[in-house]
Amino acid sequence: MRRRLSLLIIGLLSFMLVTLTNTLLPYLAISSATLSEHHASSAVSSALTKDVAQLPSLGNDVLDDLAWGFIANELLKAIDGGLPIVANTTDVFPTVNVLPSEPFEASSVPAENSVAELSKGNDAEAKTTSQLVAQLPRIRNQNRPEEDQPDYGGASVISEGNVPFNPITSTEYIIEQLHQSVDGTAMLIPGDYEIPVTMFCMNQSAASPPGHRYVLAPLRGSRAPVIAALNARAAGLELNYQPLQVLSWNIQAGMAYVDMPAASQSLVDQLIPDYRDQLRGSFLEEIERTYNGISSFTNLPSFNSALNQLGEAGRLIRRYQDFRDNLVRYQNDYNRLFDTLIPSGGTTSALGGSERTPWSKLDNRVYARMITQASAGGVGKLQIRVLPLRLTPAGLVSSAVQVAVSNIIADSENPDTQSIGGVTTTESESPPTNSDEASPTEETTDENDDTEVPKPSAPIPDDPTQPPGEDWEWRGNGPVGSGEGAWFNPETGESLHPDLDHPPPIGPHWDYTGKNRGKRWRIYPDGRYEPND
Amino acid sequence: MIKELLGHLRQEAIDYMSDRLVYGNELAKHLRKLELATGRYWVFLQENISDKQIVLFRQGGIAKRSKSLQELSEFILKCLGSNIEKTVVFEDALISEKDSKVCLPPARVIFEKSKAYYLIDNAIAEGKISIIMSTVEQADSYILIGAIGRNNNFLEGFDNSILSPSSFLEDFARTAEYIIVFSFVYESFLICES
Repeated sequence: MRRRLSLLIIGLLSFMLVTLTNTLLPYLAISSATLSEHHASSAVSSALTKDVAQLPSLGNDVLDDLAWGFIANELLKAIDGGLPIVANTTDVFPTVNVLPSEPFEASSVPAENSVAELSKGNDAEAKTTSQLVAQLPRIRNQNRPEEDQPDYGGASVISEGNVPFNPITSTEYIIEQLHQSVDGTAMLIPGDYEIPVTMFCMNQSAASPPGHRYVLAPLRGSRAPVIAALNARAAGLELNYQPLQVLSWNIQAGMAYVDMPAASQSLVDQLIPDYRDQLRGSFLEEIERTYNGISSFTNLPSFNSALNQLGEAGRLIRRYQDFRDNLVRYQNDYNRLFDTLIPSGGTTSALGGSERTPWSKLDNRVYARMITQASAGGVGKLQIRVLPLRLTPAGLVSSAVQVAVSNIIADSENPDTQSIGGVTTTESESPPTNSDEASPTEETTDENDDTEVPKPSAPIPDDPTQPPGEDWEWRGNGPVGSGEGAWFNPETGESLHPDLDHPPPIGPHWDYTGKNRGKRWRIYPDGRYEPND
Repeated sequence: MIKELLGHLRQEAIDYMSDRLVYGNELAKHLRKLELATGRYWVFLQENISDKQIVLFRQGGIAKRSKSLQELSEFILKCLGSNIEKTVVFEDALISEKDSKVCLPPARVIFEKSKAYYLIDNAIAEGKISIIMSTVEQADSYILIGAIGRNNNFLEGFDNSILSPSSFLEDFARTAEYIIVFSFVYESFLICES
C-alpha cells in the first residue's frame, strides 16, 4: 500500500509539474504553519505526502480532493468485492414476453425419466428419484445467451406462446435435490414446473408492495453462496418465516456469526453449519480494516470521522452501518425490524404489476419467472419451462439441465422496492388469482365447498373481548369485542366478527370468514354453522 | 334487481350510510365530506321486499348475497365502461401492510396508514366481472366502504404519481359519483349516487 501511495503522489506531482508548473509553484513551498491550519481534508494530503520521503508537503485543495478520491476508490473497490448481496442489478437475465416452446421430443426421453415419474412423492419412490437424478448426465450451461436483449416493455402482452404452460406442481423431487445441492440448482428434464416459494426480503431498506413485477437475476455478492445454501436447505421444511427472515437479513448485512442473535445462530447451526466459516468475518469490519490499512502509516482521521469525506463510499458504508445497528438493536424482534426496514406506502409497479411479468431466459433451454400477488413473507410461484435438447445426428446427448432455483433473485428493478429471494415451500400461493383462472383443485378446497363444515383455527371465545387464540388481533375502529371490528388472524386470513346482538330471526352469532379470506359462515352459540352466501 | 329508495326509505338510507362512513378509514373520512343528504339511494334486492324490511339495513335474512354481489359487480363494470379515468376504490378494514401472508385481490393495492385500499379501473378489470367480485369479496369484512369516481392522477401508474396515497384518496373522494356500503349484514349493497 505504501508503494502504491508513493507512486500515486509521484504521478500526481509529475503531472502537475509538467502541466501546471507556473500555477503550482507557489504552493510547493507551503509552510508547516499553513498545514497546521488545515482541517481533516488537508490532513490527508499532508499525511500522504509526508509518507513519501523527500516529497514536499502540499496543502493544496486539488491534491486533497485527489487524495480523498484515491481512498474513496480503494474503499469502493473493497465494497464492490465484499458486498454481501447485490439486491438490485443491471445484470438481470434477458427477458422475453412470449414463452418459447418447441415440440417436446417425447420419444427421445426415456420413459422412466419422464417428469411425471420423477415428480412422484412417496418415500419409496423418492429413493428411485434420487437414483434417477444421480444418473442424469450433468450438462451445465451457464453461458448467458447473448442474442436476446432485455425486454422491459411494460405495455407488451405477456403470453405463453404456442404451447400452454402446463406445469407439474409437485415439489418433492425438486426439494430433495435442493437439500443436496451445493449451488442452489436442481436437475430438471424438459417440461413445465411451478414451484411455490416463500418470499424473503433482499434489500436492507425498501418497501414490499404486493403484486410487484419482478425479473430474475443471478444471485450475486460475497454471501450469495450462503443465501443460496440457506434457501435451498430450508426448502420444504416449512420453518417459521420470521426467524428465517431475520437470519437472512443478518447475512445480507454482512454480520459475523458471533454477532448474530442466538436464534439466527441456531438456524445457521441447523441448516448451514458448513458455511459458518464464511460467516466468521463481518463485512463492515473488513471495510474498516481496509481503511485502517491505508491510514495506518498516516494520521488520517478515524474511520467514522472520515466517512463524510468519502462520497459514495461513505454513503454506502453508512447505510450498512444503519442496517447493522438496526439488527443489533432489535435482535429477533421481527416486527420492529419490519417496521424499520420495510417502509410503508409501497405500491404496485408502474410497469403493470405481476400480471405482466416477462419470462427470464436463464439459459438457452431454461425460461423462468417469479409471479406473485403477495408481498415479501407471502408465497409466490417460480414458473420454469425447460426446453428439450435438440436431437443431433449423433442422437440425444442429454435431456436434463441444471436449473437455478435458490441461487437466483427476483429483482424488483427499483431500489425502493424489495427484491426477493425464494425458499421452496409446499404451500400454495398466498393470494388466489381471479376466479376465471381458478384451478379445479382450488375450487374443491374446504373453504370453497359449501358442504364442508368450517374449521376455525381457534375456538370461538365465550367473551368477545378476548381473542380466540394467540395469533388473533382485534382489527376495527370500534371497541374490542364490539360489532365495529373483528378478530383477525394474519397468519391464516381468518376473521371472526361478533354479532351477538343480532335480532331474530337470525339471532346472535359470529361471522366467520375462512382461511385465505374464503367462504363466509354464521356460527351460532349452539354450534350450528350456516353459509352466508 | 336494483331499487331506488324514496321518501322515508331514503332518509333511513342516508342515516345508515352516514353511520357506516363513521366507522371507515381514510376513504370514508373524505367521503363523509360529500353532501349525502342530496344523493339518490339504491339497493340491490332479489324480489319484492316490503318497505318495512328494506330499511332493516343492519339485519340479515333479507337478500341473497351471491346474487347481490353479482349485480353490484355488473353495475361497477358498467360504470367503469371504457373511460380510463373511472375507478372503483374499496377500503379493506382488516388488512394491515404487515399481513404478508394474507390473500390480496387481483386489484391494484395501495396502503395508507398501513390500511389497504383496492383500486380497479377498466385496464385492470379487463371486462372481467370476476375481478370485481373477487375484490369486493376480499374487501368486505365487518364493514364495506367503496366509491366509484375519477382517477385524475394515477393514470400512468403509481410510481409516476405525484400524489401520496393519502392525497390520492382525498382527491378521489371529491370526484365520487357513487358510494357503496354493504347492507343486510353482508347480504346486499346500498349505493348513494351523489
